[in-house]
Amino acid sequence: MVTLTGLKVESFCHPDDMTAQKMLNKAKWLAKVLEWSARQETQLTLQLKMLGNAFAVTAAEMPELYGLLEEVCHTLDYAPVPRLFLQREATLDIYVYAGDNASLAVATYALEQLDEKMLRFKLGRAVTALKARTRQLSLAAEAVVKTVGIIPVAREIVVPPLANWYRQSRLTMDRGGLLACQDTDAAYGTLMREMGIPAALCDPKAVPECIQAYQSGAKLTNAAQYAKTIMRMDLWKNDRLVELYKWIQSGGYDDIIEEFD
Amino acid sequence: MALYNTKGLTLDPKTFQHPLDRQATEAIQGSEVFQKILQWISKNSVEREMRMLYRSSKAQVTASVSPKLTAMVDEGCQMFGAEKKPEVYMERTYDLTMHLQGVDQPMLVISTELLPNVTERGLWGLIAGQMSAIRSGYCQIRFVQMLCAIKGLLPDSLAAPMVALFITWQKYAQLSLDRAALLATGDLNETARAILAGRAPLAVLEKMDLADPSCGYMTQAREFLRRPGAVAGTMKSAKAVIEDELYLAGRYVELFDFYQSAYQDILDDQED
Repeated sequence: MVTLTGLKVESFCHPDDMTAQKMLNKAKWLAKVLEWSARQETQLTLQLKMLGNAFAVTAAEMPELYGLLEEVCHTLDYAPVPRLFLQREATLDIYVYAGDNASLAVATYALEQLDEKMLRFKLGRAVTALKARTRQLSLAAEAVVKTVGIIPVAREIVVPPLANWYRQSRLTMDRGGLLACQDTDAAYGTLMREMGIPAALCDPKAVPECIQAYQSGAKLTNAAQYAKTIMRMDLWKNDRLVELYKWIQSGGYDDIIEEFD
Repeated sequence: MALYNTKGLTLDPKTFQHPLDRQATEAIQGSEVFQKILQWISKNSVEREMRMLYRSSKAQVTASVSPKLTAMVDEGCQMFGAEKKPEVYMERTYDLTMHLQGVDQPMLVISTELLPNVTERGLWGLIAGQMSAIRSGYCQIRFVQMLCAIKGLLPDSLAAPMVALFITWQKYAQLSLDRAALLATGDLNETARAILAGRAPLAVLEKMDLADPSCGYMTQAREFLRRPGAVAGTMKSAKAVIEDELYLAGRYVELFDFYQSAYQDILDDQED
């Protein structure tokens, strides 16, 4: 496993996400405002949801899982290690709560369903979200979409670039996940599982076929254009697989690994 | 020979209920005529439909399917004096739930996923708790709650506070159920594990001594109750957020405090 000491989010983030990263680096005051708002959310969420209903785990309770998180943080050069919670949920998700008390909540179903490498990918995504301050920016984007979005003219101007950034930031997280697990099969496998393909049928060799099917479907319905017009904030999982595949094929992933190796 | 209620305890839930919960159950049980009316309405409406639904889509548990579950239900009824023994159904859900339905003939629905996530003793505690709920008349209260929530049945100005009142009661009732489970198992660690079932793998919960006030989960629970900016106390913070269920950390601390304070007195009174 190559340790990516000194890794900057800008070196692997998606082009549209890069603008947000640069903006945060330039406007320190904005970064502070976002940090403050995330802290408020984290205080409330942590207090009511995490501490109240989730189960906090440390190296004492779950040495394997906690060790995995420590390794992921080390690989991606992120400190301090966030608090880790388990949350009873039938999803494959890991939730991110940013701010002073950064925390991750792993859905118990993900623990049951994903192997070690896949968990590494998911934890890598979550740690990337902390490193790139994605959660803070997402909160701001969601707030703007909810408030400004009710005015028709403003919605046309403000919401599309925000919704676009929101989607692209998820692609950056996927790239971070791959850099953490450094196993393309595990990354593809996790995304395929999230798409709904059963574990037994998750064959990374089938990725090009999946992509072809998705792209022909997209052409048929002009799905990408449709997503833009309705200003969807969320990203289709199939899109994520396509974009990660493209990034690997373009040599972006190999370049980073070689640079640090 | 009892398999689970080995001490042969017989308890009236009134001895361990929260005062607000007791008030509600006494109010509902105060009028026999009212109870009969509720029973009739339930029997001829929702209950009939639910039974049909359950029998057609869930697995009914009889003595031949699971003698253990049936014995737990029997002994739970005996322990808390529940006259109506419920029909038992299993349903496949990821949520680990156990709930009662029906006023005329109660139905206990247990999530299949609950079984591999609790120990036998823990399961006995949870089932016994539900039997205490039958005796206390929770099914009747929940039915009235459901009626109040039906749109148009009551004016909005009356329905909204009524529903809020029922949600508050529900939370206190949950604490009484936890106490009943503890009295049934006689083991704080096992009962707390059953309450936390599924929140962490069973192997992780089994490593933790939840009866020890210095255990990791107690630290988390106390932190939950102390959060800066939080409204002090579980009940208050639970009231501030309209949710149907109490926070687990709050339930655990409440149970722990009950164990330290009134638990032994109740058992001593029983022996007297």
